[in-house]
Amino acid sequence: MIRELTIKNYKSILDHTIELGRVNVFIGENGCGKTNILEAMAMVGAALTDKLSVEELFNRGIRVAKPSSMRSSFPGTPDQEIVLQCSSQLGTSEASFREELRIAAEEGSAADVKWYENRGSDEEQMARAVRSLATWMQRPDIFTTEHIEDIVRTLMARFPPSEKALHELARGSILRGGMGREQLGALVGDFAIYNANALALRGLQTVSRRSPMGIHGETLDVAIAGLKPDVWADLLERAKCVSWLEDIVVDPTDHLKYQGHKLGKSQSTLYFHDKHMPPANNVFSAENVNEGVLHVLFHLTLFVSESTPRILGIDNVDTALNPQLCRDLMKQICELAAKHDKQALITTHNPATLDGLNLHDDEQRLFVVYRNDEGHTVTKRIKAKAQPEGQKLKLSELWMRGHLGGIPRNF
Amino acid sequence: MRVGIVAEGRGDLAVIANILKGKLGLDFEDVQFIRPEYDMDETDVHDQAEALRGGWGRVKRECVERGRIREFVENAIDDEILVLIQIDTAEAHEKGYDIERPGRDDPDYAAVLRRRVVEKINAWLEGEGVERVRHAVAVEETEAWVLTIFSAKDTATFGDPKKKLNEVINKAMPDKERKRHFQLKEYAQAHELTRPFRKRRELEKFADRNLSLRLFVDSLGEPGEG
Repeated sequence: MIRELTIKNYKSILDHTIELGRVNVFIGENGCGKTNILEAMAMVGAALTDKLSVEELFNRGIRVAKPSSMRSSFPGTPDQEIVLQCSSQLGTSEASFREELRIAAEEGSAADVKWYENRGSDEEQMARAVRSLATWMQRPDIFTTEHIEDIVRTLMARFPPSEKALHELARGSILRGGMGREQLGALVGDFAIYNANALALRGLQTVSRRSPMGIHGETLDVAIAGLKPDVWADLLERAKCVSWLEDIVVDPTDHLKYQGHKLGKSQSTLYFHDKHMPPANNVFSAENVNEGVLHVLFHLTLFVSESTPRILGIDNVDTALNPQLCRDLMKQICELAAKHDKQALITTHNPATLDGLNLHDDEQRLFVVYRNDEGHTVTKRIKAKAQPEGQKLKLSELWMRGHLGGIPRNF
Repeated sequence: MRVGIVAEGRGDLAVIANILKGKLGLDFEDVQFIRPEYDMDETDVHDQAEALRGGWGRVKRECVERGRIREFVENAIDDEILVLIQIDTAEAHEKGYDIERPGRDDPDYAAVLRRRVVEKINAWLEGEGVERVRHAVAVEETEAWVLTIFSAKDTATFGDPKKKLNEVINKAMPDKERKRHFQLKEYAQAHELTRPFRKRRELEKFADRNLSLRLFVDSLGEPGEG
């Protein structure tokens, strides 16, 4: 998991560090910078996998703007690089590795922008690699002296003690292999920000072509068809938090279309059975089914599929959902994230979503995002304490009554 | 740290929030407005006149009933907390407020009056949680504190601080700015006027121009007066 994310000079975030849990929910007023945090993580993923093209950034859900608008433009912040640092945790151990990414842009013209990772000069890279080695040497619980000596021997064997060897060391291709950068890349390299959209979920619009499922819910049927039977059975039961739902069918031949259950241009092969209607006439296609069930199914699929990112972002998880359903969905997301080893950064504007969180579980974290006096986006983690009997208020009520912050003050 | 404020009016909330920034470095997100209520829905707002949502009577009622104060203190959020009670002394003699004023010629007029009001508030609270309560007692009105930003004189000497403040604004602001200012809501007006309080050094300078402001600012760094 990613345990710490430091964001410098990215949009409204001048310099801020967030300590993450497994499921991280961000609340705050519109424009406070919640989505910018998710975007920064998407930039980390793009940089680690050398996929910083504008198209790739769009495909990850980043709201790409001209470089000067992607960087912070507060007074006195002329820095040309976005700096992102993230630390990952090794399994269940306390050890972590830190990677710093410096991202800059080359601007030919308004239509010709190239983002790239600035790894610095050979000397700078070498210094970083040596610092990394030194850090690892201080963690005998993870890397014994034998490990380090082995790494050095490997280096010496593969590269004669020449300038080239030093450059290889500097680039970290040996030192980092399997331990730092690559491990981080495997964790967060495919991070994307998912944001459900009714037309995409209904199979009527394709904006994102990510596989197996687009960031707006495109090809949800394909993602579901790829689930293992036991996972699918669990998902179906969980989706029944939508009270009328009896069954969901993926119809690969789209046979049901020819029985008149789908009249339009939907590409989705998902069909839903309503338990209150007679079996002969209780089928709805993704094209005409209630919107809420599609959103629930989309979000649950993100957390059970092996093909979706291990670490992912969800913008506005509450869209189109009844308050009670928001709570149910959040609770299920927390359960599924633990079960399927996923990590999530989630934004919401619906207080009911918070009622699905258990803040006494350190892996479920709630952050209030706000702009400080200078307009910089910062966060504050909300921690829970025991409440006296009779005084208990739900988190949703605490938010609405102003105890959490994250609401406009211009009253 | 989170600070909950019980105040007479929305403008008072803004003034106190700016002072808290200057003295303790607290952002708005660290400050919570307990009274006047701003979490009422529009139906309730319609039912309740603006005048009824503020005033010393409301402050007293909250101190006596303590419903929202307890909710703030005892809710599930784990943070260090402080409760701030703001009240003016302009109506301190009224029935129910029941403060005996010291003589106007008393050199310690403001300090004595403040002490009596603090004791009164603590009595309303029946001593509950007073160790984490601080008292923003403006002698005689919060406008006297605001005036410290615009006047180098001791602002306690102004007979009618509200009127004086309006005069100062009319004089200090160009027509266009003044028009815009008076179109703002009460909270926004007070927030903009008292922005200079958000800088510590400036706040210290202004506090020297009004004893009740000085006593309040200093109390923020001290143990409770309970």
